[in-house]
Amino acid sequence: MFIDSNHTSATVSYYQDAKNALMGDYATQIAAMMIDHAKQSREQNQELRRGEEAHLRLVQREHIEALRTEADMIQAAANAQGNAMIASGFFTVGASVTTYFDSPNAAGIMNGSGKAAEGMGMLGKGENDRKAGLARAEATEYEHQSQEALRRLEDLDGDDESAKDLQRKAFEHLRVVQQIKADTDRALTSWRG
Amino acid sequence: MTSSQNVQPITPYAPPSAVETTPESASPLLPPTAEGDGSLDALSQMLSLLTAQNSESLRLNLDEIKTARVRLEDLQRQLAEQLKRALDAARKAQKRNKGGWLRRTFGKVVDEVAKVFAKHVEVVKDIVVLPADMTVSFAKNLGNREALMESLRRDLGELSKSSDTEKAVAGFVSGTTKFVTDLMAFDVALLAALAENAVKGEPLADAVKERGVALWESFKTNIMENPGFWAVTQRLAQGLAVAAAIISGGTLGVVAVALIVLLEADNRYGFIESAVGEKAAPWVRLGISVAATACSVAACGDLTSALSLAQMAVGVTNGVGTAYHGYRLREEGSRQAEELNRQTDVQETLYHMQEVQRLIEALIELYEEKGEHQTQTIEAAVRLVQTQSDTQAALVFQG
Repeated sequence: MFIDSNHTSATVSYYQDAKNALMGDYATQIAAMMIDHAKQSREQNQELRRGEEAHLRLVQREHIEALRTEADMIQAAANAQGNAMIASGFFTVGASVTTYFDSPNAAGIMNGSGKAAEGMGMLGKGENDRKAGLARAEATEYEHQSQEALRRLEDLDGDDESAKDLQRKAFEHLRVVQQIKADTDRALTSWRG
Repeated sequence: MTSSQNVQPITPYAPPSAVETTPESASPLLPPTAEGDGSLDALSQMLSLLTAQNSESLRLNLDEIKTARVRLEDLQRQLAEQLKRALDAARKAQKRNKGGWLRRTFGKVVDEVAKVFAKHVEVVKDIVVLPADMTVSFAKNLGNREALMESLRRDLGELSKSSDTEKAVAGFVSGTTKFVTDLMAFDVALLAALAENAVKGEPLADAVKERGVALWESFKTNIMENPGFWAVTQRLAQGLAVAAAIISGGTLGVVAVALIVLLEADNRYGFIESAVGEKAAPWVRLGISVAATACSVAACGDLTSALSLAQMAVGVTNGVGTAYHGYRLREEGSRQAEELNRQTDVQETLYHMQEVQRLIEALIELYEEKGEHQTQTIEAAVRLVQTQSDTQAALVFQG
């Protein structure tokens, strides 16, 4: 979402087009230059603002994605460890029962399998915890970037306000000049008469 | 102003809505209309068209603000729904912890009764606490019967001072009573559903399923995760073991006593928990208790089969405990992930809302700016007409 720059520059364009056709003195040229400057400055601000908005949207989207990744990784880590422990528990039960029925080999295999499952679970948990930590770090980084972008947008707002003020003054100056010119013309006309 | 002298007509920008218009008003005393006027000079035309364009632009701007507001309201509704979902989830978790309606209703009463029970019924305390301390005395004074008897008397005297025991008994009584009340509620619901379905010939009602879930939660909270229950269970097992060991006086009796001394040492120093972790410790303790009991029982019977049975019992207990711990880990992981996802949903909606809010602010600022331009344009047009009028008056006066 952004503001189209054509919305704000129309009035300024009229004056810019009109300045050569209507005016020729230095005072008017200075006013026209001020308007030019204000117009360019505001257009530049709008471009920067548009870019900043796009950047802000991007980093906020990335922030959200990083948070979701972290949630997925937390779930995956818990699943890995939980599944492994469940498997290990059942292997332990199996080993106990087989021991009771005098099958030491099977019991050994089951005990070993239980330990292996626990090891695999810890491995999976460690890997997923690492990914979750990375995702959390990324989320924090994107959050900071979005705050930076917001601060830059505030700065741009301030710049735009200054340019708008300059533009207002230039128009006022132009109006005063035209008023003086008109008064002078009228005085001259009366005097000639 | 010198009116239209040496002025080349310019081609002003015309917005799409400002279509070709037919000029009508020719009076210089009237402000230029938005439709334009053929008799006006270039500047007048420009001002007229500016006014028209500004009006149209203001209208478009207002439409955009309205659209953005609608979008913002949608997002607010979405945020409210997300917050409601989060609240529901929190309430659900709280409700799950609270258990069934019967226990919720009489829970506090049960707790109080359990405290009184633990405080005043010394017989229960004797049964629970006596065996462990007796075991220690027995182990210390195996060769000296008199010292053993003296030590036992001292242990009996210590019973009434043990606040830990009171807590354990209170927890045991409270947990089992609450679970039994939930079990009763489940029985009632089950009987009602069975009676209803016997008439209708339908599957079990939802009420029974709900009660089943509540019963399982109650079992987890009041039995599986109740340290008081396990403490008392272990002590009871120890009591049996000590009794058997004292009666038999054989080798297995000594093993049983050694195991119970181990448990008592753990009660005082907590080394099992530090060795195997908080979650697994109750299961390990229970396993040792079972082993001790099995040894004691076996002291009077077949040695090999009793040992095997004890080993199996310990293994099965530990295995079930490990599996249950794994299940709890999965549940906890799911809960954390869901919580984080809910927070992320809320954060995402807030980002969208902030974006739309910024858009609305920019549009309102733009609207104000355009309004200001409109005012300036109209003022300029009025001044222009005034100037033209003054000039013409001066010319007439001169003429």
